[in-house]
Amino acid sequence: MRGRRKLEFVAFLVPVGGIILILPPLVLIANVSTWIFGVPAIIVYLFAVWLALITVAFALQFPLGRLQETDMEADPSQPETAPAPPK
Amino acid sequence: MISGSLVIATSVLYVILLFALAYWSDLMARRGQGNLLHSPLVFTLAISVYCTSWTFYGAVGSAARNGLEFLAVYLGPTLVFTGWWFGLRKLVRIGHNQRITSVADLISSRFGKSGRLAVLVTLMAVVGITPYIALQLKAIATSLRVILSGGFEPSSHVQATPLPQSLDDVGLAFAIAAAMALFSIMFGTRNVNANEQHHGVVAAIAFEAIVKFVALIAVGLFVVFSIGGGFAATFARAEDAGIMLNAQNAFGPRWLTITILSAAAIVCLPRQFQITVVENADERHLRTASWAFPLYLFGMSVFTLPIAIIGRSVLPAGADPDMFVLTLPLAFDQQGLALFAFIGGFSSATSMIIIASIALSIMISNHIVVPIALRSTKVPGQEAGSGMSRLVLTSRRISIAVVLLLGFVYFWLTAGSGALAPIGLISFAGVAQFLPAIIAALYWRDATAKGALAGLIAGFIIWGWSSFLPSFATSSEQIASLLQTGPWGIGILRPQALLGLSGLDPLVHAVFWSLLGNVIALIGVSLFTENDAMGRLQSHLFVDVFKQSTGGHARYVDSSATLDDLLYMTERVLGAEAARSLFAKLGPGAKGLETAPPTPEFISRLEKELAGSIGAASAHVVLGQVVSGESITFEEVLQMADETQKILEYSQRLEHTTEELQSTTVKLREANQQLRELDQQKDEFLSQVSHEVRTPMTAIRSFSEILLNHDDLEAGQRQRFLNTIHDESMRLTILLDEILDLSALERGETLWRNEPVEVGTALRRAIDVCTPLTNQHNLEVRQKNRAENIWVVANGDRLCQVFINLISNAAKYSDAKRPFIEIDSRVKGGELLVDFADNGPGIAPGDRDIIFDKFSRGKHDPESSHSGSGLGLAISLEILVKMGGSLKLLPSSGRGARFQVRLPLASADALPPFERA
Repeated sequence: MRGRRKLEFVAFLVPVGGIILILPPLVLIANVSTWIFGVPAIIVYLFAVWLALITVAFALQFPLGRLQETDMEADPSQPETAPAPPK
Repeated sequence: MISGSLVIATSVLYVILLFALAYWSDLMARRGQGNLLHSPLVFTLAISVYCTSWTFYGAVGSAARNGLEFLAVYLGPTLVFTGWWFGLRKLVRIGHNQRITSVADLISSRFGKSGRLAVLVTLMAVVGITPYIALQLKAIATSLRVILSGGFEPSSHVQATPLPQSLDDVGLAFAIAAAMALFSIMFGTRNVNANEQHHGVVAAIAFEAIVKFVALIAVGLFVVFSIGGGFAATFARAEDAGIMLNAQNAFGPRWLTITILSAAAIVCLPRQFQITVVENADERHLRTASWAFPLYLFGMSVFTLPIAIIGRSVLPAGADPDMFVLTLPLAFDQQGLALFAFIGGFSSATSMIIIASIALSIMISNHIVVPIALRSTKVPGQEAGSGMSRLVLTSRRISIAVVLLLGFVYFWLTAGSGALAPIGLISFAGVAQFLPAIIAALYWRDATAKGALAGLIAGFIIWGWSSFLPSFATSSEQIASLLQTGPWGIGILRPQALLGLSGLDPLVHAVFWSLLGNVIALIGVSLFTENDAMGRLQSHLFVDVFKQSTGGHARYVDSSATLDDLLYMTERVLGAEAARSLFAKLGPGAKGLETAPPTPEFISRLEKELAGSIGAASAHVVLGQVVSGESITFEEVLQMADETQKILEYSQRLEHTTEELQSTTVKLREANQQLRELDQQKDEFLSQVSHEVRTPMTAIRSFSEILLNHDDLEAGQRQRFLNTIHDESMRLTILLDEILDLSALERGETLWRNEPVEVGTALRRAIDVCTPLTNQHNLEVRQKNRAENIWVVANGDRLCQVFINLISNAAKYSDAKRPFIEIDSRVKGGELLVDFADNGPGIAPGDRDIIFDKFSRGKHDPESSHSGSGLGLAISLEILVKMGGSLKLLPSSGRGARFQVRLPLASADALPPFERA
């Protein structure tokens, strides 16, 4: 149970961290006329944050998926698989 | 120069391809072979219907005008999807559990299946989405004109001379709208599905997602590497191109506002809700979408800024930045790429139009047409046996046409009123008004229907006034002057400076006021109103969706409706065949429908299935027509159930408390009884002691008085008296010693040690001690079995005391001619047994029970013939109990008494070392 809460907390931190990173004041740190490999720092920063969010979401899908499977096994009201449309 | 016929032919071919793909997918799905269609990948691609022509063309335009701002439109959805575990998962679970058919259905279902809310949300969605559809038509029309003109004709044509629109554009837009209407009608309204999923449409949308993605990447690669010379070289041109990358105000209120709006839109937009929640076949797909969809958005955005920079720097000034994706390949004579880009833009526009029109048509038919039809007693199509499904389908087809027509009219009215992005943002701000209600629906138990209604109305009015209305400013003089001076010259009501709040960006201004009004009304009204019974039930089902073991609840009690009635009613809604198959699926079987009463679970499941077709509110009304014809309405039942539940809980608690009190009372009574008995015992003991003490004391006193008063007694008599006094005081001493001994035993002696004792020795010692006494009474001591070398855990002296007591009792009470005592010691069942049997008078049957009590010396015996204190047996028993043994009076056979001593044997390792075997 404790592991579950920890995992959910981490999952919660992902969007919250994203919000903090892309909104002022943090984003203003990168909003300077510095260039990284010929690309403006602000662009590198925003796309890097974006990619980091995607990577973390990708990594989290596995533990969260296991949690989801146990949840859905416990919930009989869930449709087994995709329901076939009636004729 | 691309020939017009080639472009038209390609577009038509593309649309035919879409039709074929949709048809084939529908076919596969119906045969149950469409595994690919249910894959998370297709789901993710379908979600990217989010990327419309606004993304495809408009993002570049937005980047050219406002720099990085376009990124916020994609970062909002990224945040929502990476946080899927907390928002989307709950939404999708509820969508499945409650068979939600649209965003209007969601809000209406949560707030007590309110029909009014459903209608309101539907109307808001239609009004909010109309500009968005117009935007797509505009994008297609403009892109078509650009590609036909070869890209060199400055498209500032649109900006310079907005009116009158050339007839070609209008005609073109109309033709596109008509074609899309046809597609949506063909594949979006094939049947009234149990769960409103359209496999063909979803497959087509997923295909379009690939097309637009590849097209945009292709253009991007060409522009950056072929024209720009790589990313670094491209960004080096930014300053010359006039694109401010480090604008100080880039991350101000507008950035925050657009992030919030886009995060809201990914949930609230009817088409996104349709794909993410309604068309979702499996909650697990969200896992993949959580990273794959943001990745898709990432890919769609990588080249946006470079295309804008290159477009600005190489194309003539005045070129429409919204069309850079198309005009750049054209300018560099890449006809094929330009055509591909055109198809990409075309696909992004058509996918949006298709899904949005289907989603809106479901809302209109379920929440506006069906409720109206239900009010009329005669339902069209009832006689034909096709039920309401035909009505539903027809109304959906008409709705699609009407929605697209509205979009077309908006396009016509606002003709060329500027860039693509602002129009999109107006729509976003409109549908964002659903967000407070949706969040309250999912997380706030006490949000009420009236609160939701108030919030939606407030937000919608403010949005309409401050955002929607001003979008007509370019085509209407009155509206333009309204913006300047306010209605009737009231300054504080100016649409873009409400309450005099000026200086804000119009979008920020509109979003701020509308969402603020929305939230305040929602919370304020909710706090002062109560949910009705249905509202409470639904609020529980929504907010606690992860806490329920089952989705279904028995809702209707004691229905007098028969299965036949229900079947008839379902036929009216779904048509005969669909109704039959639904009943077969739900359980009780098609046989024996006539009179069997349906179970409450069955009715509640049926309602849910119907809700999947016509929405929760309508399904509830339909079932209510049949089922709540009872004397008691459903609401009352719920209310009663609620009250009853409370009373039950209360009385259960009371009962529990009472039980506790009762058991405490019983315990107290028992304790009191014990105390009283103890007190009585103490009194008896005291009086017995007094009595026992008094007898010798009396003797001592009287003999000593005689001795004192009569000096003339002869020496022999004096000697006898003195002997008596001595004997009586001895008896007194023994009695007091024994009382002290007993009380010490009962209190628990401090210095009591149990240790291994050899029984034979103790017994011999006891017999030796008693020899004078036995000789005096001529008592013969016989030993039957002798337990030799048997060790028990005991206190040696005390054990000896017990034996002495038993032997001396036999001696004292002996009255036979040849008195004897037979001692029989042996081991049996891990215990030492020592029997003392004599041939004395024995114990009278009435005394057997009290023989071990204090002072219970046989009352039958002749007074004073025995000198016992009456405590001996009591003390012996107490001693044996302390050593873990017992003392019993065995049933005697014939004359005499037979006492048995039992003691546990000492374990081997408790023995002294030399005694161990």
